[in-house]
Amino acid sequence: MKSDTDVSAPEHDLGVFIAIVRDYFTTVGGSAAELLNPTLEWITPARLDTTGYIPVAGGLNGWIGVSLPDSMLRSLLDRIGEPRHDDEACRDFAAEMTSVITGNARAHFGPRLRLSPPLATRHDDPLPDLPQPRMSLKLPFRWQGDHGFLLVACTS
Amino acid sequence: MSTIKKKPAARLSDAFVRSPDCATYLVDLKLPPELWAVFALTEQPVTAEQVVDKTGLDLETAKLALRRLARRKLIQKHVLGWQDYINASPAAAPVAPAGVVAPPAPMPAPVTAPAPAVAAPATAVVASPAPVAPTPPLVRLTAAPKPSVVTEVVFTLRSATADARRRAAAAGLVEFKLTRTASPAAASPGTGRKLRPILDAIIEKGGGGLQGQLLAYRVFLRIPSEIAAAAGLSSLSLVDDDFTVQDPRLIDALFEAARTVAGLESLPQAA
Repeated sequence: MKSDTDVSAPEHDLGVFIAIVRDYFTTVGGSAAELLNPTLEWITPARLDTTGYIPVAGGLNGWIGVSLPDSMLRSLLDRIGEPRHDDEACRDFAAEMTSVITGNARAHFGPRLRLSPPLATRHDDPLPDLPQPRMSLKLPFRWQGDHGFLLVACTS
Repeated sequence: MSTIKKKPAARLSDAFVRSPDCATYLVDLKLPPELWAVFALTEQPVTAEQVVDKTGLDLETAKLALRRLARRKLIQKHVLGWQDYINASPAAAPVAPAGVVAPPAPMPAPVTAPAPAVAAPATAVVASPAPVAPTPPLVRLTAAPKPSVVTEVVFTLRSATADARRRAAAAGLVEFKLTRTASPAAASPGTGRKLRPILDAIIEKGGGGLQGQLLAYRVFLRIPSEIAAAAGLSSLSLVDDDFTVQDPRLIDALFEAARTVAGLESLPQAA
């Protein structure tokens, strides 16, 4: 029988991952991101302006995406005092964000969860070469009035 | 040899009332009209039995509705400190000597009764505490009195506490309407099986909240794509979806996945 408090369960790992993303907004953005109602998606949702992907393997297999609108990225760029707000700055910042999240996740999970180098794409870039899941979990969130979403895409 | 028969213990019914920060969670929230009808009753504490009386829902559905609203943090269990209780209740007994517990007073007024402008003073207080100013309700509600025949419900939310005023200033005054043309019983007709109770059971097994939702994701991940496609699944809310499963293969696959992934040996029957 599965335990309700099984900290080795994959959903616990996913919960930690999501907490790390939220911590990022609290630390860098100065206020917490508010998680909204999650949905199961059998068709991969359309990407927002910039998406960072973190491939994972081990206890979880697949990837976790963070898809953000430019308005949110520009607010974050403002917060860190970055004067450039163009598309390239947004992509660079999304890449940096996913790198920080990946680093924090590595520090937490150690060798138990293998995290490949993250990558960031603009909405009009080709889809990255990642395994496509049968279905994904979309976790929308709101930060400073803008909406982004996390996408949990596990293959097993 | 004699047998002592015990009288069955009376169960306390939990009463629920709107949570102080429910306005935070109302923004952009979409729920079935039946749930909003229950939420409309919670300006003052209400039990599942009272919900049954006022809406015509059956008891299990009323309990489920209260649990769902509580899970969304829109309502919470109604609990009071002793001092608050005796301040609010003129019939409250004085504090008894140590070891003696005063019997509980009846539940507060029914939900449709207008809230008193000022709390009644305590009449049997040992230490005569200073009167406590009543906390104005967070949400002022205007609604038709009988939910079963409601055709239009208008909610107007006004903040009362400083915290709530700050949130309202950020979000603007929230006003929304719900329209229903049928009674709750007629809203879920026919064949098939509601997915909601099954989802609720899985989420609860996972500990509720995000952890439970992540467990539900892993359960659904086990369902073969062709079965999901045949059932017409393309997007499914883990919070407020009212999806009805028609395809028995999906039910079977879901049962098997819930057993394998979540350790659930049985799932609730159709709501």
